[in-house]
Amino acid sequence: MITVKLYSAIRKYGGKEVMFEYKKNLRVRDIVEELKIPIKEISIIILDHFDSTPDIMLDHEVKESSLIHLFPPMAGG
Amino acid sequence: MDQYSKNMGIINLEEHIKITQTKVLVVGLGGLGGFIASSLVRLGVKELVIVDFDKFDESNLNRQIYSTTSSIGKSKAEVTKKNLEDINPSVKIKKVETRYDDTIDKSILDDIDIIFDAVDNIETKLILEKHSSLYNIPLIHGAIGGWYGQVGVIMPNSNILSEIYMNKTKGIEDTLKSPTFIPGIVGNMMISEFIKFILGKGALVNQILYIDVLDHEYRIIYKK
Repeated sequence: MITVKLYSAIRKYGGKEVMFEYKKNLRVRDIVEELKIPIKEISIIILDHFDSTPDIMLDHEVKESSLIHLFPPMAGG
Repeated sequence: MDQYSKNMGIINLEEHIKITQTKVLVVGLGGLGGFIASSLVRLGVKELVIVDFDKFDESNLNRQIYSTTSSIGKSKAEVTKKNLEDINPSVKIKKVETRYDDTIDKSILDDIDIIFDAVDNIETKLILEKHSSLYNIPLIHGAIGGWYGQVGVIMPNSNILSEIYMNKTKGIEDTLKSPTFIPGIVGNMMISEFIKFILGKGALVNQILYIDVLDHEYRIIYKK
């Protein structure tokens, strides 16, 4: 199973944690689309302890027991 | 020295002197910036340059430390400067009442040791990061929204903010807003990172710490 953890405002798309069945060739992008999260609402993605931005991370394939964290942008002062 | 005696449990005299030799630029005097400026003069920095074009309004009263019913309609920079001088007259305060953008007079960056990002929009955060790189000045970054915040020390040319805000125009603050407690928490976490950075005590250099005070989750979410 793949575990997806959502943070702050993007919890509205699935709560704190969502589990996905593993499929071959499944990418981070497929999971984000399944959750119906607009890309502009994601700022940082951590996939199996590797942190990066959506432009780099969305097309990464996930593994059978991957852990994904999705963080939204924050800019208030 | 009694003014600083309660800091001396964690800061020795040599370290205190280091802080008193520091010149700091704070951009944005809203939620984060008010608390940051207050703490910087209470720490006893040498000089503080504060920048904000705005005036206080009623919606600031819930959280901005120098926002009072009598300050509504008055310049944030002017009101903040007066309060800071009252807290610690030995700190030199310079106020700049203008919007911080690319056209700003760059002489305000002269001899600045640290820039504080206390602005409320991505566009200005990216300009601050650019100036931090161009003038080789470290940037203490902070952002808030709802129950959440993030802080980090952004070193020149690391381009962390350009990466995490790539193709973004607004953040969660647009919907979650800015409740009473969050600027004080995150603003003062920026201050503790400032102290750690200046004194070489292991600050969050080129890292972003995510802060969730609702569920008490704190984790590094980005690093270089």
